[in-house]
Amino acid sequence: MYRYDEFDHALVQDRVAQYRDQVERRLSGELTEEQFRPLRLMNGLYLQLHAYMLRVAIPYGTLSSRQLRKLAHISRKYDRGYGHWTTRQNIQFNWPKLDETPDILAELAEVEMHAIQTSGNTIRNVTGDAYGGVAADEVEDPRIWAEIIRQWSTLHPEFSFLPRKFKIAVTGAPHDRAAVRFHDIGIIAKRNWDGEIGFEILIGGGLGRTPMIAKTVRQFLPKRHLLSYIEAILRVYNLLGRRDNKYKARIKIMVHELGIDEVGEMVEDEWERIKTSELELPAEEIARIEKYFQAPAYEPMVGEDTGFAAKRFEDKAFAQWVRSNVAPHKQPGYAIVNLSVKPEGQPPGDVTDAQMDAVADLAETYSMDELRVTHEQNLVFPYVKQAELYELWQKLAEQDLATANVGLAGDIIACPGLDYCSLASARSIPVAQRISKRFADLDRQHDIGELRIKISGCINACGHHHVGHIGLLGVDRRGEEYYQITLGGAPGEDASVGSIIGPALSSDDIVDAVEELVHVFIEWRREGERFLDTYRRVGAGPFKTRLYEERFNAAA
Amino acid sequence: MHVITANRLIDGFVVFLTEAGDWAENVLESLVVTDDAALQQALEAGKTAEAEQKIVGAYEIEVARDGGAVVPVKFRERIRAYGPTTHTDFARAEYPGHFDHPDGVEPVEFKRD
Repeated sequence: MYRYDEFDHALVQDRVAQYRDQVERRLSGELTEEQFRPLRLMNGLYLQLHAYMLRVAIPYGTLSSRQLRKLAHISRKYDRGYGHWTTRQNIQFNWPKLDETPDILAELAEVEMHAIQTSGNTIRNVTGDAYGGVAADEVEDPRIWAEIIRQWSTLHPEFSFLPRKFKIAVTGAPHDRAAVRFHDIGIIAKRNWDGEIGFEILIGGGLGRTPMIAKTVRQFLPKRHLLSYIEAILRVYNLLGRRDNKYKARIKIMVHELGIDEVGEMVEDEWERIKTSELELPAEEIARIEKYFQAPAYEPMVGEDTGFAAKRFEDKAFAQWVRSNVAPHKQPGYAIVNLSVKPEGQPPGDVTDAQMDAVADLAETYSMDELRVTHEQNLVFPYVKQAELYELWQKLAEQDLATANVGLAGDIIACPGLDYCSLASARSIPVAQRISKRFADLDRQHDIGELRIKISGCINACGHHHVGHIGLLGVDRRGEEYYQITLGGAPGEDASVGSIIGPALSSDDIVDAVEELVHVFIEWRREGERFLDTYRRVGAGPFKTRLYEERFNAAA
Repeated sequence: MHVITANRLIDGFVVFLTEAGDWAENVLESLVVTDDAALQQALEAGKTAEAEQKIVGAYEIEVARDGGAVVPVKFRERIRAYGPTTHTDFARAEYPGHFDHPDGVEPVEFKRD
């Protein structure tokens, strides 16, 4: 895993000192709120509905036990004893005090963490496949490239005042677990016809008020040109991205208005000018970063481990958990474990300080000291021996982190919504809790199969509802909370934006409506189909009919 | 009927302008203004408090009387006044039904000391 070198450490310490001074000047009145606001945002500090909110960067979602223990300590000492995992693999604290935030950042710096560029019109946290380095289907470890981009983008002087925020994601596997097609720049590592590994570069994807799927600007880019090419994209965006209208300022709007061909030409022109500059990555530099991510000291598998298979046969609950929460690993004898942070009826994506400490201990014992945060608000242990799965499962269950619902109806993504966020129109957390309770029966969830429900409390779509198989968008209708349903969204390689299927339904009706949608699916599905497959095959018709003609008269 | 609300600078907490001219966390202690002149005066107090680094972003919200209590009319403002509906520990004042949820959902309670 990545280790900071001295340069990074000094940079982060300097940043803390600079920020501490800015806070002092704000408290003394030397800086007004208007002057201070962009400065605090550059360190991830928002002022929300009830309090400040601090968003801490977790580079491509990767954490060590030591870092997680520090996050637990921060939540205990400076916050209210919990943290929230976000849809960009970061963590959020909801109750820090302004005058204590410099201390929080100083403590984070001790474990090489920070909140730089987690807000503002900058290049944000580079996200990646949470299974990076261990996925069975992986072509290239995306973390190497996420790290290279991270180093290049942190405090990049030319790109500190972009027209708007900028988000980059990297996948190294054909099955895209990083939703790259919904990012400003999406990077897919792949092989060309000669077997050489390089990148497909896509631009102009996004969610928010205007969801769009990214378009390919370069089919194959050799590795050494990654930074110069991205720099070219950022330069074109920085120059031409709109600065007159906040809602039309993302690169997706630029690509939409000018067309991918014209934008592509501009990028290629700029790239020609800079491709042989110091941004070209020498092989030794790539190798140096690759070393940080080399495979850990796996224990070779001895014989066939029958312990694991036998346990699955004996213990139905364990088997159920393996089916939904455990994924295949590239190393024989190992497994990838998903920790579900979606216990039945609870706010999704929240962990207490006690849970964070427990997870840190478990990661140390069972996952070589490392864990990942997913963009679906869960956690991953990337290096678990199959022989230890049963023991780990029991320990996770003690922490309420072993609900066998990953990727199923109970694994709901929800933004903080009107309970916490000053931008929201309606609440999302209680709706997630209600749906979770309605589908509490795990056998039922497993029978339904893969079903990704995502809830956003407003059109900014931080809950990623556009790419939910079932997406819910909270709206305010005459002071009442209503929810609009979209169907058929998908974030991966089969990217699609969900379609609205009818008028918004009331808060009273929405959970029944979601259950009705599942009933329709069960009635129509063929063998082996997921909800998404059935929807794609039969279309919205049966779902619309059931909701709007048979059950809910939403004509009002 | 209006009260003036803001976020306290030092910790971001939701506060309300009181009759005494300070800023309280409990909406029940807020100064209620019923005419435009009083409203403008209260907003001026907000501007002064901002200039003194006490609060940020003061604005007026509509309230109604409910028995002896003063209650924000808009749901968003009730959430600001009483706390997120998901966590009972973060409540600042009481409002009947604020933590009620359908479908058997309970708000979270951390029971921290």
